[in-house]
Amino acid sequence: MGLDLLDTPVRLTWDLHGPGAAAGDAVLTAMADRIAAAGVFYVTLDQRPLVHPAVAAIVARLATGGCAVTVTCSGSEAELAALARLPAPLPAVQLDAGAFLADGLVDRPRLKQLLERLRGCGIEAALFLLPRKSNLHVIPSLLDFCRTAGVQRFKLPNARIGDTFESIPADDLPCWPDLAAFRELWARQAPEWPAALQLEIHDRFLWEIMTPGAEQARSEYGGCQAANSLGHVDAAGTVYACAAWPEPFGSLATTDLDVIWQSPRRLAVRARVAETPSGCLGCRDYAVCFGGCRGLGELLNSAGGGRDPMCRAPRR
Amino acid sequence: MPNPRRNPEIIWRIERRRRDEVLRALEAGEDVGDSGTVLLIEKGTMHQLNLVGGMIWERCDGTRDPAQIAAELAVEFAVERGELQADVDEFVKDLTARGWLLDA
Repeated sequence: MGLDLLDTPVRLTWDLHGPGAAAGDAVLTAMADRIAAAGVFYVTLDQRPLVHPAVAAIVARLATGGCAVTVTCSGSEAELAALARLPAPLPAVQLDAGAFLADGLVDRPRLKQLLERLRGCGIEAALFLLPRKSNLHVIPSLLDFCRTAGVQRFKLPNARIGDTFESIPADDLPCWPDLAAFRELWARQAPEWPAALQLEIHDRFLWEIMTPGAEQARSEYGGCQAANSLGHVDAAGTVYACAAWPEPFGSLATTDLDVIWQSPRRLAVRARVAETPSGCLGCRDYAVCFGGCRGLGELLNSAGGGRDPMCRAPRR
Repeated sequence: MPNPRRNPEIIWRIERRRRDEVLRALEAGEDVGDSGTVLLIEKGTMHQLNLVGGMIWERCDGTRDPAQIAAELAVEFAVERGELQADVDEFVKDLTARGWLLDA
Protein backbone atom coordinates (compact mmCIF):
# COMPACT_ATOMS: atom_id res chain seq x y z
CA MET A 1 0.00 0.00 0.00
CA GLY A 2 1.33 3.46 -0.85
CA LEU A 3 1.37 6.23 1.66
CA ASP A 4 -1.47 8.72 1.79
CA LEU A 5 -0.65 12.40 1.66
CA LEU A 6 1.24 13.18 4.83
CA ASP A 7 0.87 16.33 6.90
CA THR A 8 4.62 16.94 6.86
CA PRO A 9 7.74 15.11 5.68
CA VAL A 10 9.19 12.25 7.67
CA ARG A 11 12.73 12.75 6.39
CA LEU A 12 14.39 16.06 5.55
CA THR A 13 17.78 16.90 4.16
CA TRP A 14 18.97 20.37 5.11
CA ASP A 15 21.95 22.07 3.49
CA LEU A 16 23.76 24.37 5.87
CA HIS A 17 26.01 25.83 3.19
CA GLY A 18 25.10 27.02 -0.26
CA PRO A 19 23.83 30.01 -2.23
CA GLY A 20 21.78 32.55 -0.29
CA ALA A 21 22.58 30.99 3.06
CA ALA A 22 20.22 32.10 5.81
CA ALA A 23 21.94 34.60 8.08
CA GLY A 24 21.88 34.64 11.82
CA ASP A 25 21.54 32.03 14.52
CA ALA A 26 18.04 33.21 15.38
CA VAL A 27 16.73 32.47 11.89
CA LEU A 28 18.44 29.09 11.76
CA THR A 29 17.26 27.97 15.18
CA ALA A 30 13.75 29.12 14.31
CA MET A 31 13.95 26.93 11.21
CA ALA A 32 15.13 24.02 13.35
CA ASP A 33 12.23 24.61 15.72
CA ARG A 34 9.78 24.60 12.81
CA ILE A 35 11.14 21.29 11.57
CA ALA A 36 10.84 19.75 15.03
CA ALA A 37 7.37 21.16 15.57
CA ALA A 38 6.25 19.59 12.31
CA GLY A 39 7.04 16.13 13.67
CA VAL A 40 9.82 15.32 11.21
CA PHE A 41 11.48 12.10 12.38
CA TYR A 42 14.83 12.23 10.59
CA VAL A 43 16.93 15.25 9.62
CA THR A 44 20.19 14.96 7.72
CA LEU A 45 22.32 18.09 7.84
CA ASP A 46 24.36 18.28 4.65
CA GLN A 47 26.92 20.43 2.81
CA ARG A 48 29.71 20.68 5.38
CA PRO A 49 27.31 21.14 8.28
CA LEU A 50 29.95 20.56 10.95
CA VAL A 51 31.88 23.68 10.01
CA HIS A 52 28.78 25.87 10.12
CA PRO A 53 29.01 28.26 13.10
CA ALA A 54 25.45 27.47 14.22
CA VAL A 55 25.66 23.68 13.94
CA ALA A 56 25.68 23.07 17.70
CA ALA A 57 22.58 25.19 18.23
CA ILE A 58 20.77 23.62 15.28
CA VAL A 59 21.58 20.06 16.35
CA ALA A 60 20.50 20.82 19.91
CA ARG A 61 17.18 22.36 18.85
CA LEU A 62 16.37 19.50 16.50
CA ALA A 63 17.30 16.85 19.05
CA THR A 64 15.34 18.56 21.82
CA GLY A 65 12.37 18.62 19.49
CA GLY A 66 12.54 14.88 18.99
CA CYS A 67 14.29 14.68 15.60
CA ALA A 68 16.95 12.06 14.96
CA VAL A 69 19.82 14.10 13.54
CA THR A 70 22.54 12.96 11.16
CA VAL A 71 25.43 15.07 9.94
CA THR A 72 27.41 14.36 6.81
CA CYS A 73 31.17 14.62 7.05
CA SER A 74 34.00 14.41 4.55
CA GLY A 75 36.58 13.75 7.24
CA SER A 76 38.49 17.03 7.15
CA GLU A 77 40.36 18.12 10.26
CA ALA A 78 38.12 21.17 10.57
CA GLU A 79 35.01 18.97 10.59
CA LEU A 80 36.50 16.54 13.10
CA ALA A 81 37.48 19.38 15.40
CA ALA A 82 33.96 20.78 15.21
CA LEU A 83 32.50 17.35 15.88
CA ALA A 84 34.64 17.06 19.01
CA ARG A 85 33.23 20.36 20.24
CA LEU A 86 29.58 19.37 19.86
CA PRO A 87 27.82 18.77 23.15
CA ALA A 88 26.21 15.40 23.88
CA PRO A 89 24.13 13.76 22.64
CA LEU A 90 26.12 13.66 19.44
CA PRO A 91 24.28 13.36 16.14
CA ALA A 92 24.79 10.32 13.95
CA VAL A 93 27.65 10.77 11.49
CA GLN A 94 27.69 9.77 7.83
CA LEU A 95 31.10 9.79 6.20
CA ASP A 96 31.19 10.73 2.54
CA ALA A 97 33.02 7.84 0.93
CA GLY A 98 33.36 9.99 -2.18
CA ALA A 99 35.96 12.01 -0.29
CA PHE A 100 38.07 8.87 0.05
CA LEU A 101 38.44 8.01 -3.60
CA ALA A 102 41.84 8.35 -5.19
CA ASP A 103 42.44 7.57 -8.85
CA GLY A 104 39.02 5.95 -9.01
CA LEU A 105 39.74 3.59 -6.13
CA VAL A 106 38.74 3.58 -2.48
CA ASP A 107 41.56 4.75 -0.23
CA ARG A 108 40.86 2.02 2.27
CA PRO A 109 43.75 2.74 4.71
CA ARG A 110 42.73 6.40 5.05
CA LEU A 111 39.06 5.55 5.45
CA LYS A 112 39.81 2.83 7.99
CA GLN A 113 42.04 5.20 9.94
CA LEU A 114 39.30 7.79 10.15
CA LEU A 115 36.67 5.26 11.19
CA GLU A 116 38.97 4.05 13.97
CA ARG A 117 39.61 7.61 15.05
CA LEU A 118 35.88 8.27 15.30
CA ARG A 119 35.35 5.01 17.14
CA GLY A 120 37.93 6.22 19.64
CA CYS A 121 35.58 9.14 20.29
CA GLY A 122 32.59 6.82 20.68
CA ILE A 123 31.20 7.51 17.20
CA GLU A 124 30.18 4.61 14.97
CA ALA A 125 30.02 6.37 11.62
CA ALA A 126 28.00 5.22 8.65
CA LEU A 127 29.27 5.55 5.09
CA PHE A 128 27.50 7.06 2.15
CA LEU A 129 28.28 7.47 -1.51
CA LEU A 130 26.34 9.79 -3.80
CA PRO A 131 26.03 7.62 -6.91
CA ARG A 132 27.66 9.14 -9.98
CA LYS A 133 28.52 7.81 -13.36
CA SER A 134 32.16 8.10 -12.34
CA ASN A 135 31.92 6.19 -9.05
CA LEU A 136 29.42 3.35 -9.51
CA HIS A 137 32.34 1.00 -10.04
CA VAL A 138 33.60 1.45 -6.47
CA ILE A 139 30.37 0.23 -4.85
CA PRO A 140 31.46 -3.44 -4.67
CA SER A 141 34.79 -2.41 -3.19
CA LEU A 142 33.07 -0.15 -0.66
CA LEU A 143 30.74 -2.90 0.43
CA ASP A 144 33.72 -5.20 0.87
CA PHE A 145 35.35 -2.47 2.92
CA CYS A 146 32.23 -2.26 5.09
CA ARG A 147 32.51 -5.98 5.76
CA THR A 148 36.18 -5.95 6.70
CA ALA A 149 36.02 -2.70 8.68
CA GLY A 150 32.81 -3.57 10.53
CA VAL A 151 30.85 -0.63 9.15
CA GLN A 152 27.25 -1.04 10.25
CA ARG A 153 25.44 1.22 7.80
CA PHE A 154 25.99 2.12 4.17
CA LYS A 155 23.80 4.45 2.19
CA LEU A 156 23.46 5.28 -1.49
CA PRO A 157 21.34 8.44 -1.36
CA ASN A 158 19.44 10.07 -4.19
CA ALA A 159 21.04 12.38 -6.70
CA ARG A 160 21.08 16.09 -6.10
CA ILE A 161 20.12 18.09 -9.13
CA GLY A 162 19.06 21.55 -10.13
CA ASP A 163 20.82 24.87 -10.12
CA THR A 164 19.54 26.01 -6.76
CA PHE A 165 21.75 23.74 -4.72
CA GLU A 166 25.02 21.92 -5.26
CA SER A 167 24.44 19.39 -7.95
CA ILE A 168 26.11 16.56 -9.74
CA PRO A 169 27.24 17.80 -13.16
CA ALA A 170 24.70 16.60 -15.70
CA ASP A 171 27.30 14.55 -17.50
CA ASP A 172 28.10 12.66 -14.28
CA LEU A 173 24.52 11.66 -13.46
CA PRO A 174 24.16 7.92 -13.92
CA CYS A 175 21.78 6.83 -16.69
CA TRP A 176 20.67 3.47 -18.00
CA PRO A 177 23.87 2.64 -19.94
CA ASP A 178 25.86 3.19 -16.74
CA LEU A 179 23.46 0.99 -14.86
CA ALA A 180 23.82 -1.72 -17.49
CA ALA A 181 27.59 -1.59 -17.01
CA PHE A 182 27.12 -1.70 -13.24
CA ARG A 183 24.87 -4.74 -13.58
CA GLU A 184 27.65 -6.59 -15.37
CA LEU A 185 30.22 -5.43 -12.83
CA TRP A 186 27.99 -6.54 -9.97
CA ALA A 187 27.52 -9.94 -11.55
CA ARG A 188 31.32 -10.36 -11.57
CA GLN A 189 32.29 -8.60 -8.37
CA ALA A 190 29.38 -8.71 -5.92
CA PRO A 191 31.16 -8.89 -2.58
CA GLU A 192 30.45 -11.26 0.24
CA TRP A 193 27.46 -9.62 1.86
CA PRO A 194 28.30 -8.03 5.22
CA ALA A 195 25.89 -9.82 7.53
CA ALA A 196 25.33 -7.00 9.99
CA LEU A 197 25.26 -4.19 7.45
CA GLN A 198 22.23 -1.97 7.14
CA LEU A 199 22.09 -1.02 3.50
CA GLU A 200 19.98 1.89 2.33
CA ILE A 201 19.66 2.33 -1.43
CA HIS A 202 17.50 5.18 -2.58
CA ASP A 203 17.52 4.41 -6.27
CA ARG A 204 15.05 1.73 -7.18
CA PHE A 205 17.12 0.35 -10.06
CA LEU A 206 20.36 0.09 -8.10
CA TRP A 207 18.32 -1.64 -5.42
CA GLU A 208 17.02 -4.12 -7.94
CA ILE A 209 20.54 -5.07 -9.04
CA MET A 210 22.10 -5.21 -5.59
CA THR A 211 19.32 -6.99 -3.73
CA PRO A 212 17.75 -9.42 -6.21
CA GLY A 213 14.63 -11.14 -4.89
CA ALA A 214 14.21 -8.66 -2.05
CA GLU A 215 11.20 -6.82 -3.45
CA GLN A 216 9.16 -7.63 -0.38
CA ALA A 217 11.55 -5.55 1.69
CA ARG A 218 10.47 -2.55 -0.32
CA SER A 219 6.83 -3.46 -0.47
CA GLU A 220 5.78 -0.33 1.38
CA TYR A 221 7.51 1.85 -1.19
CA GLY A 222 4.44 2.73 -3.21
CA GLY A 223 6.32 5.14 -5.44
CA CYS A 224 8.33 8.34 -5.35
CA GLN A 225 8.07 10.01 -1.96
CA ALA A 226 9.20 13.48 -3.07
CA ALA A 227 6.96 16.10 -1.48
CA ASN A 228 5.38 13.51 0.78
CA SER A 229 7.58 11.69 3.26
CA LEU A 230 10.69 13.31 1.75
CA GLY A 231 11.64 16.96 1.60
CA HIS A 232 14.70 19.12 1.22
CA VAL A 233 15.71 22.49 2.65
CA ASP A 234 18.46 24.52 1.02
CA ALA A 235 20.85 26.86 2.79
CA ALA A 236 18.53 29.81 2.23
CA GLY A 237 15.68 27.99 3.96
CA THR A 238 13.67 27.24 0.84
CA VAL A 239 11.77 23.98 1.07
CA TYR A 240 11.79 21.64 -1.94
CA ALA A 241 10.08 18.44 -2.97
CA CYS A 242 13.32 16.53 -2.46
CA ALA A 243 17.03 16.86 -3.13
CA ALA A 244 16.44 15.42 -6.60
CA TRP A 245 13.44 17.61 -7.44
CA PRO A 246 14.14 21.33 -6.95
CA GLU A 247 10.54 22.49 -6.96
CA PRO A 248 10.34 25.26 -4.31
CA PHE A 249 7.33 25.34 -1.99
CA GLY A 250 8.10 28.15 0.44
CA SER A 251 10.54 29.51 2.98
CA LEU A 252 11.12 27.83 6.29
CA ALA A 253 12.70 31.06 7.47
CA THR A 254 9.26 32.65 7.58
CA THR A 255 6.65 29.90 7.45
CA ASP A 256 5.81 26.78 9.43
CA LEU A 257 6.61 23.52 7.68
CA ASP A 258 3.10 22.10 7.99
CA VAL A 259 1.77 25.21 6.24
CA ILE A 260 4.38 24.93 3.47
CA TRP A 261 3.45 21.25 3.08
CA GLN A 262 -0.12 22.25 2.27
CA SER A 263 0.92 24.68 -0.46
CA PRO A 264 -0.64 24.29 -3.91
CA ARG A 265 2.80 23.72 -5.42
CA ARG A 266 3.45 20.79 -3.11
CA LEU A 267 0.05 19.29 -3.85
CA ALA A 268 0.68 19.79 -7.58
CA VAL A 269 3.90 17.78 -7.32
CA ARG A 270 2.04 14.95 -5.62
CA ALA A 271 -0.61 15.11 -8.32
CA ARG A 272 2.14 14.75 -10.95
CA VAL A 273 3.61 11.80 -9.05
CA ALA A 274 0.18 10.15 -9.04
CA GLU A 275 0.10 10.21 -12.83
CA THR A 276 1.83 7.51 -14.84
CA PRO A 277 4.64 9.05 -16.93
CA SER A 278 3.98 8.57 -20.61
CA GLY A 279 7.38 6.91 -20.89
CA CYS A 280 6.26 4.18 -18.51
CA LEU A 281 2.97 3.29 -20.18
CA GLY A 282 2.61 -0.44 -20.77
CA CYS A 283 5.55 -1.36 -18.55
CA ARG A 284 4.97 -4.63 -16.72
CA ASP A 285 6.96 -3.41 -13.72
CA TYR A 286 5.22 -0.10 -13.20
CA ALA A 287 3.33 -1.47 -10.21
CA VAL A 288 6.70 -2.19 -8.63
CA CYS A 289 8.71 0.93 -9.42
CA PHE A 290 6.02 3.56 -10.11
CA GLY A 291 8.40 5.38 -12.41
CA GLY A 292 11.40 5.40 -10.04
CA CYS A 293 12.82 8.85 -9.31
CA ARG A 294 10.17 11.18 -10.66
CA GLY A 295 12.24 14.31 -10.09
CA LEU A 296 15.03 13.02 -12.32
CA GLY A 297 12.52 11.73 -14.83
CA GLU A 298 10.57 14.96 -15.02
CA LEU A 299 13.54 17.29 -15.20
CA LEU A 300 16.06 15.29 -17.18
CA ASN A 301 14.18 12.86 -19.36
CA SER A 302 11.35 14.66 -21.08
CA ALA A 303 12.45 12.94 -24.28
CA GLY A 304 11.83 9.62 -22.54
CA GLY A 305 8.35 10.63 -21.41
CA GLY A 306 9.42 11.37 -17.84
CA ARG A 307 10.81 7.90 -17.24
CA ASP A 308 13.61 7.62 -14.67
CA PRO A 309 16.88 8.12 -16.59
CA MET A 310 18.15 4.91 -14.96
CA CYS A 311 15.48 2.95 -16.84
CA ARG A 312 16.16 2.10 -20.47
CA ALA A 313 12.61 1.41 -21.64
CA PRO A 314 9.28 -0.01 -20.52
CA ARG A 315 9.57 -3.72 -19.77
CA ARG A 316 7.19 -5.86 -21.75
CA MET B 1 -6.07 -9.92 28.09
CA PRO B 2 -3.22 -7.76 29.49
CA ASN B 3 -2.95 -4.06 28.87
CA PRO B 4 -1.24 -3.56 25.51
CA ARG B 5 1.46 -0.93 25.20
CA ARG B 6 3.29 0.36 22.17
CA ASN B 7 6.75 -0.97 21.45
CA PRO B 8 8.98 2.00 22.33
CA GLU B 9 11.28 1.20 19.39
CA ILE B 10 8.51 2.21 17.01
CA ILE B 11 8.33 5.90 16.25
CA TRP B 12 4.98 7.29 15.29
CA ARG B 13 2.89 10.39 14.87
CA ILE B 14 -0.70 11.33 14.35
CA GLU B 15 -1.41 12.92 10.96
CA ARG B 16 -3.72 15.57 12.40
CA ARG B 17 -4.74 17.35 9.22
CA ARG B 18 -5.28 14.03 7.54
CA ARG B 19 -7.33 12.75 10.44
CA ASP B 20 -9.57 15.80 10.34
CA GLU B 21 -10.15 15.19 6.62
CA VAL B 22 -10.95 11.54 7.26
CA LEU B 23 -13.39 12.44 10.05
CA ARG B 24 -15.18 14.85 7.70
CA ALA B 25 -15.31 12.17 5.04
CA LEU B 26 -16.69 9.69 7.56
CA GLU B 27 -19.42 12.12 8.56
CA ALA B 28 -20.26 12.48 4.89
CA GLY B 29 -20.77 8.74 4.69
CA GLU B 30 -17.63 7.93 2.68
CA ASP B 31 -15.61 4.75 3.09
CA VAL B 32 -12.44 5.73 4.95
CA GLY B 33 -11.21 2.25 5.81
CA ASP B 34 -8.03 2.57 3.75
CA SER B 35 -7.17 6.13 4.73
CA GLY B 36 -4.14 6.42 7.00
CA THR B 37 -4.24 8.75 9.99
CA VAL B 38 -1.33 7.48 12.05
CA LEU B 39 2.14 7.03 10.59
CA LEU B 40 4.62 4.69 12.21
CA ILE B 41 8.09 3.49 11.36
CA GLU B 42 9.21 0.05 12.35
CA LYS B 43 12.76 -1.01 11.48
CA GLY B 44 12.98 1.67 8.83
CA THR B 45 9.72 0.75 7.15
CA MET B 46 6.81 3.17 7.07
CA HIS B 47 3.29 1.98 7.82
CA GLN B 48 -0.01 3.77 8.22
CA LEU B 49 -2.95 2.92 10.44
CA ASN B 50 -6.47 3.82 9.47
CA LEU B 51 -8.77 5.90 11.65
CA VAL B 52 -9.95 3.13 13.96
CA GLY B 53 -6.55 1.46 14.08
CA GLY B 54 -4.94 4.80 14.87
CA MET B 55 -7.36 5.49 17.69
CA ILE B 56 -6.70 2.07 19.19
CA TRP B 57 -2.94 2.59 18.79
CA GLU B 58 -3.09 5.94 20.58
CA ARG B 59 -4.75 4.25 23.55
CA CYS B 60 -2.27 1.39 23.78
CA ASP B 61 -0.17 3.06 26.46
CA GLY B 62 -0.26 0.20 28.96
CA THR B 63 -2.94 1.77 31.16
CA ARG B 64 -6.02 0.31 29.45
CA ASP B 65 -7.09 -3.22 28.61
CA PRO B 66 -8.82 -3.96 25.31
CA ALA B 67 -12.27 -3.75 26.91
CA GLN B 68 -11.54 -0.26 28.18
CA ILE B 69 -10.23 0.77 24.76
CA ALA B 70 -13.38 -0.55 23.11
CA ALA B 71 -15.50 1.31 25.66
CA GLU B 72 -13.74 4.57 24.84
CA LEU B 73 -14.13 4.04 21.11
CA ALA B 74 -17.82 3.27 21.57
CA VAL B 75 -18.25 6.91 22.51
CA GLU B 76 -16.68 7.94 19.19
CA PHE B 77 -18.33 5.52 16.79
CA ALA B 78 -21.92 4.43 16.32
CA VAL B 79 -20.99 0.78 16.09
CA GLU B 80 -22.40 -2.19 17.96
CA ARG B 81 -20.25 -2.74 21.05
CA GLY B 82 -19.55 -6.43 20.39
CA GLU B 83 -18.31 -5.63 16.89
CA LEU B 84 -16.08 -2.88 18.24
CA GLN B 85 -14.66 -5.20 20.90
CA ALA B 86 -13.91 -7.81 18.25
CA ASP B 87 -12.13 -5.18 16.14
CA VAL B 88 -10.01 -4.06 19.09
CA ASP B 89 -9.14 -7.64 20.05
CA GLU B 90 -8.16 -8.51 16.50
CA PHE B 91 -6.06 -5.35 16.12
CA VAL B 92 -4.25 -5.95 19.40
CA LYS B 93 -3.66 -9.60 18.55
CA ASP B 94 -2.30 -8.74 15.10
CA LEU B 95 0.02 -5.97 16.28
CA THR B 96 1.22 -8.03 19.24
CA ALA B 97 2.14 -10.81 16.83
CA ARG B 98 4.09 -8.28 14.76
CA GLY B 99 5.88 -7.06 17.87
CA TRP B 100 4.49 -3.56 17.53
CA LEU B 101 2.52 -3.94 20.77
CA LEU B 102 3.82 -5.45 23.98
CA ASP B 103 2.06 -6.68 27.09
CA ALA B 104 2.20 -4.09 29.84
